[in-house]
Amino acid sequence: MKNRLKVLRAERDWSQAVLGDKLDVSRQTINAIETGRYDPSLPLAFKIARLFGRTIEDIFEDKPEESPENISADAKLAP
Amino acid sequence: MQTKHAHRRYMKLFIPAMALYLFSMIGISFARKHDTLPEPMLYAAAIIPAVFIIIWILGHMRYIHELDEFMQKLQVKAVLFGLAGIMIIATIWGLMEELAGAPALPVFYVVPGFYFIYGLAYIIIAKRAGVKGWGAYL
Repeated sequence: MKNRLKVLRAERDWSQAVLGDKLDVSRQTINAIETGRYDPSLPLAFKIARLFGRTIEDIFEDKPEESPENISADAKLAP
Repeated sequence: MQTKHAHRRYMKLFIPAMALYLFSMIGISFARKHDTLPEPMLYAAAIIPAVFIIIWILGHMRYIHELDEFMQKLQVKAVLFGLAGIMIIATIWGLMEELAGAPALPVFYVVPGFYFIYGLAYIIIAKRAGVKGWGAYL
């Protein structure tokens, strides 16, 4: 899952450790979320969204994998 | 609770538990060697080191419980590898004992065996998850 966490963090000039402290998680967890290696739980996603004053959808992008099947299905759905 | 705080709490329990385990093992081995305890008492005394191992295991469970969700996930994965590994080894060796007459290994080796496999698994899992250096443990 793609996300804008790194950008939002950079806008506030926070380090991963600072953001981790604010969210009560480790720096390693912030790094894993930013690099897309870990998708946070719903409670943590809400916590992140609240901290940045955004909605979850603003921060996390649930984009399905680009595959030929998905592309053709999308094309069929398009008007 | 933050990982570093959970780790600190774990070490505060782990170090004294292991020190007491070591002292009790030395004490009971000494008592056995010099026949200072009668046999029934020796049976009871042999359980004392196990108490410290149980405290350590419970401390480890608390440590995992106190970690944040991502670090918890890595730990749980490593524990599963440790359990699977030690069960596979115990099954294979047990069958070799039963069916081929292999020498009997002390059951006591299950805990160190589990922690050895768990430790190796955790290093690999943490590395694959992008958690590097001492930050993975502190």
